[in-house]
Amino acid sequence: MTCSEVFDLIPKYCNGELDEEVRRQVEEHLAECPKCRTEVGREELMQRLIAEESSEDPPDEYWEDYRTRLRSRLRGATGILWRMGCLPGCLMGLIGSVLVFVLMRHSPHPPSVFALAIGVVIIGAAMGLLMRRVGKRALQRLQTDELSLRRLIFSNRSYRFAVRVAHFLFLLLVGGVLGAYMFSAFLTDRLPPAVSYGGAAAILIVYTIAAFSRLRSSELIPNLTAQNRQSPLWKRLVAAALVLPFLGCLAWNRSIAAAVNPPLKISMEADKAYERGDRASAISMLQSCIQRYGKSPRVLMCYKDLGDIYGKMGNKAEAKKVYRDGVRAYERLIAYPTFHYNFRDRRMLLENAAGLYHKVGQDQRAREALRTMLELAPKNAENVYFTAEHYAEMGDKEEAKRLYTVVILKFPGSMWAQFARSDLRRMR
Amino acid sequence: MSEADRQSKLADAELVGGVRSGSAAAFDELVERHRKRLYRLAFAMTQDHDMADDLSQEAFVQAFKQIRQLKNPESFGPWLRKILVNLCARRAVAKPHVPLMESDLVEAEAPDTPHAAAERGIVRRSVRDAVSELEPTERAVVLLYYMEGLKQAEIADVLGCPVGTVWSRLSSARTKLRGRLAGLMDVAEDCGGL
Repeated sequence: MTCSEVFDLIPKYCNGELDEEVRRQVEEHLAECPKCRTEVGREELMQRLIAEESSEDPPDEYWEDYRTRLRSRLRGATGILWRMGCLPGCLMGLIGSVLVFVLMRHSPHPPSVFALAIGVVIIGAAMGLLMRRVGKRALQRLQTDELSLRRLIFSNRSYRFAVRVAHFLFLLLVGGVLGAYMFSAFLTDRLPPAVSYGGAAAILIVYTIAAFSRLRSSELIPNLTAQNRQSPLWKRLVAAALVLPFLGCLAWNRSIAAAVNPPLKISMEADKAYERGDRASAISMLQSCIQRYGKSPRVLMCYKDLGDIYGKMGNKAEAKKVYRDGVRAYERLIAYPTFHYNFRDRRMLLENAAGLYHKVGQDQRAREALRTMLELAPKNAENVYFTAEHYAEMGDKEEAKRLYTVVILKFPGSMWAQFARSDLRRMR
Repeated sequence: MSEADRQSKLADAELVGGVRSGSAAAFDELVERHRKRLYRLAFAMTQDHDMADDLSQEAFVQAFKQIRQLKNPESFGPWLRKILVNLCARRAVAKPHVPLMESDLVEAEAPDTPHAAAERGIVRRSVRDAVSELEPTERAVVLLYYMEGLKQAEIADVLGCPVGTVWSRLSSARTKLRGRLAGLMDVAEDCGGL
């Protein structure tokens, strides 16, 4: 062996990590090489220095209250009271929300799923806080602590199973089902369906795996490899892979909403200004909205409203010009990608397009737009009702009556059925 | 026989089983067995008593919370060290380096004299400064290798990296330590040891 080879092996030699044959060769070399022997001596010295001098024991008094300090830290870390309140709270909130949704869906003002989901979270958090507060006092009265409570629960097999079932239901229903629905319906409704439904499916799969893992064992995240699980870098990468796309979807949705939504609000404000008698403001608002939000599907509403205002003022030529500009705007809008439109955007685009086509005398095109609007959601009472209303505005009473009848027969308990009945009576 | 006496006779694997079943005595025994060693390692990593206290306790807390995820209960000790090393890595602190002057090195004398005590302080200071100057990953490897006496494969398991990476970090750290402690080791050899 050469000195260079032995030098590289010195730490392993000193630490007893060499196998029999290599060790023998190193010792043969050391017997003849004083320089390498010196290096071994220095390595052993360095080993001794680091082993003995790089650390020290604290004074004996340090250990006297060590157990007390550790238990105090553990008590803060267990969080069992919080979980005892939060888990059942979220499950109760979810069951209650589903009941409210089912019972009130045909009422005049049914609650939105979004509001119900917020309700689930609030109830869960509130119950968690309440349990934590009340539970701490109760434990103090009983002269015990969270640590002992945790031991009591996990020493009893039935309790352990009940806790696992609660975790399982929480992860599956609140995390998986509700999370997937919220993601696709509200947080990504302006993304292509593949992204929206794909992301929802991924959320459902991840939470389902987590739920079953929790039921089977205490692991929340499937164990890829023991090595990877302890690596902070791996955890950071997983967290980034989960959180960044989610934040990206939110940011996308918000930015699209900022570009698309305003014309509706501006149109409503212009209506109010017109009703106050301030026509100039109304016209100015609608014109600047058209200029600023020309790429929004909801801008057609502004064209229609502006044309209607000119029509009421007696300026039919200007009204016709605005309607024609609106039709051109519609044809321009549908020529571009529309994947980022949600259901409301598409419906407003089509219903306003139908109105504009009717105003410029292209009823065939207007009917095509209304047919497309109906096909968007034929089982949605609101959609069918508004389609019927637009047919009635166009003068196509037969089709309007047919659709009003559909609303009454297919959605009998809903408020749209009531509106449809009164509209039918008016038409007769 | 008291509960504490009974627990003290059990192996780590059995104690881990006891903790999983909710036994406080089993956890207390595990803490009793591993706390000093864990503290020494934490202090060597951070060179700060308060931080060593905080990190070693936090390591026990994390171990308690994750005890069910431990696949091999008999390797509770290495697993606990792994948790501590990860905690230290997350809270890596760069201690300011104060260079040791040549004139601070004195000849070795009998160990029970004031000069010997001062020399011991200088030795300790220079070793700790040299170790704390290393990169956190190199420091962890050096301390686990030289202080804890672990083999490279064991260190690789603790740090969650390949054995080759452990070896390259150790080589790099040795080169730096040799350079930093060269003067000290020269004096040690001339005086027949420290």
